[in-house]
Amino acid sequence: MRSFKTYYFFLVLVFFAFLQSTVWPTNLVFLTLAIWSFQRSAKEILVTTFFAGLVLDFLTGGTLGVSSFWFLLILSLILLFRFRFLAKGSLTGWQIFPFVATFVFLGSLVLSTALHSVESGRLTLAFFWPQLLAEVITTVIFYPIFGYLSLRWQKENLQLQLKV
Amino acid sequence: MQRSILANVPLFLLLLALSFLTFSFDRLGIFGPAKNAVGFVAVPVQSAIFNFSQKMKLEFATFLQVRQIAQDYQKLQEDYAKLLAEHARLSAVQQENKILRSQFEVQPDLAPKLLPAQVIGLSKNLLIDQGSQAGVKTGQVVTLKNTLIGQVIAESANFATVQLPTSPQSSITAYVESPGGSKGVVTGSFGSTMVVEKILPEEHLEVGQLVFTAGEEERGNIPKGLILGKISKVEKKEAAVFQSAEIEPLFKFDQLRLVFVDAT
Repeated sequence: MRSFKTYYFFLVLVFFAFLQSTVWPTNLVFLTLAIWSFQRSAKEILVTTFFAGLVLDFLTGGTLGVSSFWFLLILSLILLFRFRFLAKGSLTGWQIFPFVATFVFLGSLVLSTALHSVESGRLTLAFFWPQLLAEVITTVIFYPIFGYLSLRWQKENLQLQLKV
Repeated sequence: MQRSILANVPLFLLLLALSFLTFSFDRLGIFGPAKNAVGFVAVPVQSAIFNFSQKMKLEFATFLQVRQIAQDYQKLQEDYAKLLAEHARLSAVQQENKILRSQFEVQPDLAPKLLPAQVIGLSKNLLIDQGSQAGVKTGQVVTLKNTLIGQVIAESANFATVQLPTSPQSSITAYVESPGGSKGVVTGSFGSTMVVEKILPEEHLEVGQLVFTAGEEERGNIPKGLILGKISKVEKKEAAVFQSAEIEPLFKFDQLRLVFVDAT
């Protein structure tokens, strides 16, 4: 059952990678992983992040491994700190939204700077402000959909069982 | 929770190391065939998604912007009238040019070999459905109707990545359509517009003037005379050493469907 869920989860990410590389320049893949990293097991998130990063690099024509590397670094921070907000499983659904949004915003900030700087070979800051804004807005729009899917796919989500 | 994170540290380090190795191997070109294979499958899908979104955008835009379209139509009619007059003037100049060429036996420049390419995606850069198999190479210029669309920065067998002039990584020497032909450097700004900088304060800039490539890059592969866009805002400060201007592209990059790679 778990592998079935992970398979679906990965398909959604591949679909978003296609959207991101064609019509929706917002970092949808990172956004999805960031939101779901609050709701799914650490092992599942780490493995999926690695492969999702590769797929994204393939589709955008970027250097393979760059997205995986940065996604893993940033999402590991979310995985490391999420217990502070969700220690007793007392926060659910929309209650964790401020934390998700904060992590998405800060993560996007680091990610945009890192990816553009790697590409250009120099520290690039100018590009990401409109993109960040778009990512936060997209988070607000997408969060209910992700929340709904998570509730459907894992009933235990209400208590956020974060066992590996 | 902490336990679960700590339990995954070896996995995390392994995946991080794999990412780094993948990055290093890709820089060495080892994944070229794999990229080509993925591109073979992905490009038609990307193309279909992009075309579908363009179609939907057009449908919605038409529905939501009827008034705007009416205004644009009126403006286009005015522009058309102006262009007709301009065309008449240029026809006379062309005739004169032909006579002069024949007089001095000067051959016209060879037309560039333009390779049509369909746009299949737009993220930070533009993706086109022609790659090294069709002769596309890094550094080649992509144009549309004598307007610079961008420059190829990476190519695969069947698709290529084009850096737009609105990208902050882009820097192009340019001149402004003015009596003095003011020269400056055009850089991308926030991914949607461009800025022409380092123009002397005594030069006269005004909104609507066209900005062209100067063809003075060190690498020398952007030809002179391609349109970059038109000035939409002039920034001139009293104390500043230089003045600058914001440039609006002539084409909306997210609406492009077909572009041409200068494969000469």
